[in-house]
Amino acid sequence: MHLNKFTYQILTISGVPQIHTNLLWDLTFLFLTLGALYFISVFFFRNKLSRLSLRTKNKREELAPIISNFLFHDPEDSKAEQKEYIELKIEIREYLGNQHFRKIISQILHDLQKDVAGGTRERLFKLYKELELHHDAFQKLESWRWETIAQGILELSQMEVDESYQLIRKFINDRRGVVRKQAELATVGLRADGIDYLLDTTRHPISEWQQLKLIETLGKRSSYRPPQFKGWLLSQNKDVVLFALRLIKHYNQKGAESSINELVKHKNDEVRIAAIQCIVDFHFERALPILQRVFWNSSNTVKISILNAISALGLKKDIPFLKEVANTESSFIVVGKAQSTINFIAPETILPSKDIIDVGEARDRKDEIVLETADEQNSVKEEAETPLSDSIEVEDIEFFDEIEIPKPKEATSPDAPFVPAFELNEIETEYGDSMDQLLGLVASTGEDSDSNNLLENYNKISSPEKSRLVSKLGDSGDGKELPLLEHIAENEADSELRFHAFKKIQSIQEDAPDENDNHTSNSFDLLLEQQSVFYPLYHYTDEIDAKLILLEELMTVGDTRDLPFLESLLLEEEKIIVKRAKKAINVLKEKGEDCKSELHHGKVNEEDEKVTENPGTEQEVSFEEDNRIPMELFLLYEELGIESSNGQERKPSPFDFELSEEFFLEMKSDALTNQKEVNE
Amino acid sequence: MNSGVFDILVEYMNVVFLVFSTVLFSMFSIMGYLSARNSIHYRNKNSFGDLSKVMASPLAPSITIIAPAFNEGMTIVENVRSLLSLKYVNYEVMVVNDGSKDDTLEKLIEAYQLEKIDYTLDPNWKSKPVRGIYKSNQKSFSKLTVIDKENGGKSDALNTGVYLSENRYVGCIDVDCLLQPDALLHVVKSFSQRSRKKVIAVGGVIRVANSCIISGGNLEQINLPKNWLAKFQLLEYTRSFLLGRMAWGRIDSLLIISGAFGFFDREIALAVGGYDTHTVGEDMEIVFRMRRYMHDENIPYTIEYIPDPLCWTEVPESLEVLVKQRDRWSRGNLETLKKHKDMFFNPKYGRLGMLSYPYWFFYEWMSPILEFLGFFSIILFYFLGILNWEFFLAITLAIYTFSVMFSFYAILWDVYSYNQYNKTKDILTLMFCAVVEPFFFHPIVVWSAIKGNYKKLFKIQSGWGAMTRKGFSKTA
Repeated sequence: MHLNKFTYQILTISGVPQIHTNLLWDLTFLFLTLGALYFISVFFFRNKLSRLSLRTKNKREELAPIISNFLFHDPEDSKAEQKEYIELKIEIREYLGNQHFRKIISQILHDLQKDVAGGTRERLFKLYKELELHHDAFQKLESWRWETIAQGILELSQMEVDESYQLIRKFINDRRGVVRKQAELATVGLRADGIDYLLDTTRHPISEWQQLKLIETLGKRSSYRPPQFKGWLLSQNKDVVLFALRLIKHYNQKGAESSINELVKHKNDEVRIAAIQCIVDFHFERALPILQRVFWNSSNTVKISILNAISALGLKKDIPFLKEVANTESSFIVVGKAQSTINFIAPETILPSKDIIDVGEARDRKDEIVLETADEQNSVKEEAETPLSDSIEVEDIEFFDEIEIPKPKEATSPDAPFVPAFELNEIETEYGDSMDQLLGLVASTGEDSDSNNLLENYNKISSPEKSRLVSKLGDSGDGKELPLLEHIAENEADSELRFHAFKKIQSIQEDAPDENDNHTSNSFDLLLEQQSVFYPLYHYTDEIDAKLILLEELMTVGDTRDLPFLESLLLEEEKIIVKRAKKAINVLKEKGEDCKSELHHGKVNEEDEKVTENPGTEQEVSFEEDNRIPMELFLLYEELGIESSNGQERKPSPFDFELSEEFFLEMKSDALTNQKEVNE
Repeated sequence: MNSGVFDILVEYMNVVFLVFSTVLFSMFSIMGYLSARNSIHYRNKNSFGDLSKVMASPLAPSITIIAPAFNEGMTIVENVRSLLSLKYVNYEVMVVNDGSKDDTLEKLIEAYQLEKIDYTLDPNWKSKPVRGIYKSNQKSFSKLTVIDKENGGKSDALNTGVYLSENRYVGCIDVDCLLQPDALLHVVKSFSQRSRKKVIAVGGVIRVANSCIISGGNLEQINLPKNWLAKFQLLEYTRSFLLGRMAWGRIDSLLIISGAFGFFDREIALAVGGYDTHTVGEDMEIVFRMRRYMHDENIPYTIEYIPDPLCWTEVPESLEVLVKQRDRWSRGNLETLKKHKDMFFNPKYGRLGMLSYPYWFFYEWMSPILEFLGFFSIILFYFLGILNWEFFLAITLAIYTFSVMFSFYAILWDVYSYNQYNKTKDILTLMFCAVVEPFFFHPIVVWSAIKGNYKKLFKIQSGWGAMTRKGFSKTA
């Protein structure tokens, strides 16, 4: 008993805090009260919001026709309408004393300004000022609440109240972010030189989102002539530099090459990446050595940007650097990018090595040949497909005796692709190619499969990569990419890419040595024919009218290089074409140019000149002549969204610029056939 | 003597419960205040400008939406179509078929005319093997990429997507979620509007889409769910997203971004190794890891939270599925807290270590356990005849009235901010749910949490559990 009491006392002394249950009851009561209050508040706010929304809606419906009347009012209207207009104006002025009314009418005008343009927009701004609603916005600028100030700035800038410019730009360095950002937008939006002021004076960071909005705001200015933004590349504010770079890129200002190249060394990755993007966009090839120097001290993100730039601008001389990157970098992504860049510059330099099956003896036997003919890695891939190769004895290949064997160290390096230190003459090349096919080192359908691979790869890549690929295609000059280029020219949705592909096709066709060089004496003629820029254009369409217009253009801008092409037209079935071609030939000859084609072609058939034509046809044809443009220009116009240079509204062109599938396939064979016929 | 000591212990227990409840009241009250402030601030801040102006800008940052799909053959085509129709210029939809056993991939290939493309994967990248990457040969579906891989779970699928994406930001969503058309604009804005701090992640509100009418991938009509379990969850989501996360967002201490709608800076997500594949609470865990990484690297950062209703999802309507879901959440919670236990009251991690983690520990993990124990204690005390009835009633009523009051407050903010359930009947139904929730819905949640903790404690193998969805209601 004593012990119990003692224990209890000790524990009591150690102290169990006394719980005041009453406090809990009080809390319960408090929570109940608050709960009830919230219950009522829910319905109160719901009703208030609904009422306000309904009231505003009704008022808007009531005011909308009045405002329309103001906006579309014409001083030339009838007297009754003028009277109604004046009465409405008086009526609306009476209402302006009501704050709620002012708020609603201001909202309506703000909503409307997003949907109207031109004169109506001007009248809307005028009405806003006439109703003195801008005074409300000015008052808002004096508020202590940031959201009110920002709202005021927004209203004044949207309604293009020019006199607010000086007031608003004071907020550019405001410590309150929302106010500052709104002031920046308004400053840029109100005056053309607002952007200069902003970039000169802002001390605060400009977020990426804000930069996007500022560029959007600048884009809305009509007939805006941007300043040279390179001046701000020297700014102490990192965000100003970044923004200036984006503006330079956006407005395509190429005059800051050295500064941009220098910014690649900036300590901030964002600035570096923006500078690299400018370098790529402006094709600043001189930046490549700098990029390679800064590469090693960059983050992976910057490294990938640099590799992208080299991929776009690099040449074969940059491959050693890329190989060094591929061999020394630890990041898989960077290594992968370096390898793909190498292959982009020099296709198939690096081939798949993972999971490649060792084909054993056959491989050993052929390695000797492979070393002397092509890439050693290439051979591994291709020999697997060639059962024929086993039946060929190495001794049979006599022509290799004359080939200089490269140094072993070059050939044995697994990373370095074999670069032959010799040049095969044409016969050797041809013979070698035949042997390659026979050996299976190059599959007989190799070109087709290459083209298919290219086509497959092309379909998988993104638009910028496509653009880069097209710019690279055809550089090898072997015409292997021609089917892909044709595919792009026919099927690509992007007209710019179609145009580039078309130009590349032209260039390949012009540069390509004639297959029949060694066999026919007319290869030079064919080459000349293909040199005429009008040749492919002529074949784009089946319409005679269009062809005639083209010939008319040729007479104006053509030169003697077009003569072979014109002469090939003399065999056309359409008499009118023949006649126009003859006329063109005469015109070109009369220009006094040296006509090489005379050496190879017969003179114009006198009898053909007598061929009669339907004069009406010619008149019809020449009807739209001036409105038509060459396809290259057409594609450019389409891409840039501009009208033809003569300022006239372009009528639907009779040209069918959609390339038919057969066109490119038939183009060569047609040309050859025509040429043979001419010769015969 | 024994009786005396026991009495004192019981008294102390009362004190513990009282302190716990008082702290809870205080914290929730502060959260109510912070969320209200944040809501008003957000509304004021975003009342200017027009998001759509930037929508088509070629300078807009690029973003990839990664949607893991496992046996989604029934709805995949429609769901992907909805994702492809978002209003943004520079985005990619990446569906990761996580070894579905149904015809998910075949349906995608057929519907979007997909073709297999070549790819290169880092051999050191740890994820289940990728069987193929598909792109559409149709220009209209050029934004779509489908990755077919062996089954490795949601985290593994998301990791593969994050790795293969080439865009700056990646969004990890549930493929059956419905995103509002302007969702990406809000997300990109949140990512790029800061200049002093790096935004490493953006999270948003998840809204309940049960019984809502969807047409052409757009939310046509918002309805209150017909199912009672879904109604309770709607109230719970409103409280959690509109008040809880909003408040944590205000003090930049948000520790969880919903797996159904979470966006990350890809560079940081890759730097921390992506999602943890060994936890079922991967959405919470990755946020912990990313935050730790930024703290360790000493880079100023933040996580943005968007209160606008941008993502709508179906919530479980059956008790079994609900219990499985909550069981998984509890396990994920415990796994994450255990993994990052060194952050507990660690001043090195600032508010994260001193406030967020302890809150999460005491009030998200421990609270259901205490409630469960408390419930049995009361029964025990009753049978032992030592139950302090006055205290019991007072504290129970105080907690109950507080919970109802807090739910009413959430409903009030929902009406004030978005006013989406504005019919009198809907509001009254939600309030009724608030009144009865502690008796019907809350015990289910507590029980699921106990189950999850029990499984984790005794290492009982349990995975994700199937989440069966009815599919959104479609207009005729």
